[in-house]
Amino acid sequence: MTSYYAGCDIGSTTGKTVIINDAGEVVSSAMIDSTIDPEVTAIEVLSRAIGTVNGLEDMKELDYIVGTGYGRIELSFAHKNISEITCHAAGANSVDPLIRTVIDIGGQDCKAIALGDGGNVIDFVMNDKCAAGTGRFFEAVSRAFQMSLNDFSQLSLDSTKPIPISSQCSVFAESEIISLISQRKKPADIAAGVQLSVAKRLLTLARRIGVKERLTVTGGCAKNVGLIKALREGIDIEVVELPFDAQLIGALGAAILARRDGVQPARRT
Amino acid sequence: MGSYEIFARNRFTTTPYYLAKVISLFAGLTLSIGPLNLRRYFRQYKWLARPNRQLDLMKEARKNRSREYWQGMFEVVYFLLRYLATVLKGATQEPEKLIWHEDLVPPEIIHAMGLVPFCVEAPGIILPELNAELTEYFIDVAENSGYPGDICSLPKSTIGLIMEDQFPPPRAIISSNSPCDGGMASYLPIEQKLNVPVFRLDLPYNFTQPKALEYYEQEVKSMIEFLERRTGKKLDYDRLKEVCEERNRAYEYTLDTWDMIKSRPAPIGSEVLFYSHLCYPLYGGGRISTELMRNICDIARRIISRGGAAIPNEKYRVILWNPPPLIFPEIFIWMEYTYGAIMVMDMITYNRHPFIDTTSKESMLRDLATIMAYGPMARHTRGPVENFFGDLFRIYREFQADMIMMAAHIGCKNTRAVLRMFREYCRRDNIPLLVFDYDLSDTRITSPDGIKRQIADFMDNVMGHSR
Repeated sequence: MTSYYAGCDIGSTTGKTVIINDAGEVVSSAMIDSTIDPEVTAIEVLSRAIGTVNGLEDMKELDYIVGTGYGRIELSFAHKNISEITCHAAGANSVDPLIRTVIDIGGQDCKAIALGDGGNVIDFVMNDKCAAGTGRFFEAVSRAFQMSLNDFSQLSLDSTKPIPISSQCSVFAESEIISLISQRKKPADIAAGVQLSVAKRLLTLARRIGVKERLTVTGGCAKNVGLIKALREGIDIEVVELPFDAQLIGALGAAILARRDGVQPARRT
Repeated sequence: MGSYEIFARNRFTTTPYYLAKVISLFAGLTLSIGPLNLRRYFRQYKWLARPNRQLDLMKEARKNRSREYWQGMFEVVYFLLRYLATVLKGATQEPEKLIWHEDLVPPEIIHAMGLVPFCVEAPGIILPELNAELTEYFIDVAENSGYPGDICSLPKSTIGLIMEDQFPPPRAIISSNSPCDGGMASYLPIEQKLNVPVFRLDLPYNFTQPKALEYYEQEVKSMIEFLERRTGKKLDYDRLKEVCEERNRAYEYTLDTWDMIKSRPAPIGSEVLFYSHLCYPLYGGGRISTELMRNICDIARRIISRGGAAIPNEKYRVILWNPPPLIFPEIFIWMEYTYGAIMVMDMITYNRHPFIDTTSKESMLRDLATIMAYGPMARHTRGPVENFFGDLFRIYREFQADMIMMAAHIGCKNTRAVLRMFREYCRRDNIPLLVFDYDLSDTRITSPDGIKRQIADFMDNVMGHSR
């Protein structure tokens, strides 16, 4: 009989889950928008993932569940909760064991994580006080441009001359962007300025722990192609794109740790 | 502890024993300065009357700590009260003898001249633990009087206290250029406010050079001349010899205690260790300091002799670099019961220096100058960065530590400037390092919960601690 292990990453913006089997293969994953209740989000996203796995019908059939993300404490059904820092490191390491630096850009914080040879966390820094450089910031900026997040992330690719955004604070940056738009500056150039400004902040954060090759970006903002381009331009080492959905890396890491810990039965907390 | 130690050791009589000592101390102080004066001090000096948080802290500590280790907290508090009583008594009975000195200017010489030393930063060190809001009020007073907002909050709270006339006025002030420009600059507004002359000891940048130490020794002699001119008192070298010998005695106990802490599990640590060492900047060479050090050493020895430990489950031995967050006095107790993590040494406590050679005037002045130059923080934030890291990695090995916590005080530009090197060195040597952001005395920069979160993230993710 196959055993199944789930990682459930409940972030401020989205809830993600990854289910793996006892061979460590990913058998299912799902992602939904977060609700106000982390546990409701987790149950819903797990149900969706379970629904696509033959032979799995109920959450109770999962052998071990690890919760991660800011909402992890609320998941009463999880066997264990583990910080998203450890989970992103484990997830990135499982996909590419040569990764030594992870920049995780989530909905409401960003982190730079230094990994050891075995994928263990040896250092990290995080920005959880300032919205600049988080998913929330990009949401606000795309609103100012009156376009979807996806369209905004593509916009800067057409820039020929990025316009620097001088404001450090996301609130003032948004005002500055609106002001530039009203001055009829080229939207692509403004967008490129935004991406560059955020990339600089992220690299400054990462340099605090000492950036080592290989570097990858995880979290929802890893899908922002304009930001990834700006990051690549700002650093002289390769920014690796993982062969796995970067937004699901935390949940994948949680699933891997669930498999590791689930070998021995544990009581549900 | 003498013949009364049986009371101190008994679990049922420990609290009454120390309570009786404190009551007796206050009774003696009341008799010597008069009840009206004491009442006046408590009314005028707002920072004096807030002991409740300390009592809560001690109740909390009792849950996890061994009885003797817990007694160490009483010893430290009792020392601080004795010191305070000495200052208040001197300020009342002989106000012309009261000399303010900076925390990195050891008080031995002032003490030996028959003057009353008062470490002007001491209330700023103690107050945040007892009343963070009041400390922030004094910080605001300093900033509103024009002192820059982005420097260390310890000199800021000290200036605020002085602006609000919270200390008995001095006859003279001794300051220095250690450990930082912020601290040094704080004595200018103090001088202007009080109109009292300040002598500033000038420690050369490369203080380890023989010429630099000769220069500094001359500075100490100039300080003595300044005090003699200002107070009319002469330095009695026989008295200085007694003071230096007393300091040597206390230091012997200190070294013995450190040796015991080096073994696993540690018999004492954390704030008992950190605050007991305040006896040197506050009252070095004083009998009360020697008594404190002897009692702390006795406590450690007793714990070891019965095969005990400070805490029941020592799992991680922590080296703390930079001062602990004064706004979060529960930090060590919380770390002990949450993670079994005990702080076994810190930058300020590790005040390592030779014994004072008391064979001649010259040797005493030379060694006192050396102690000042090599004092904690003074030697770490001055000169080449090797001064900073040399101690750290030596301590890490000697004290069998498992991790280093770098308290990245937002106002300490000197230490923040080397954070990147710090990380690189620790990474090179596979030393787990937590750098946590905080402000020494201001909860508005980082709250205690914010500090806890940073420590918890580190313990969970880097140390792999599962709760």
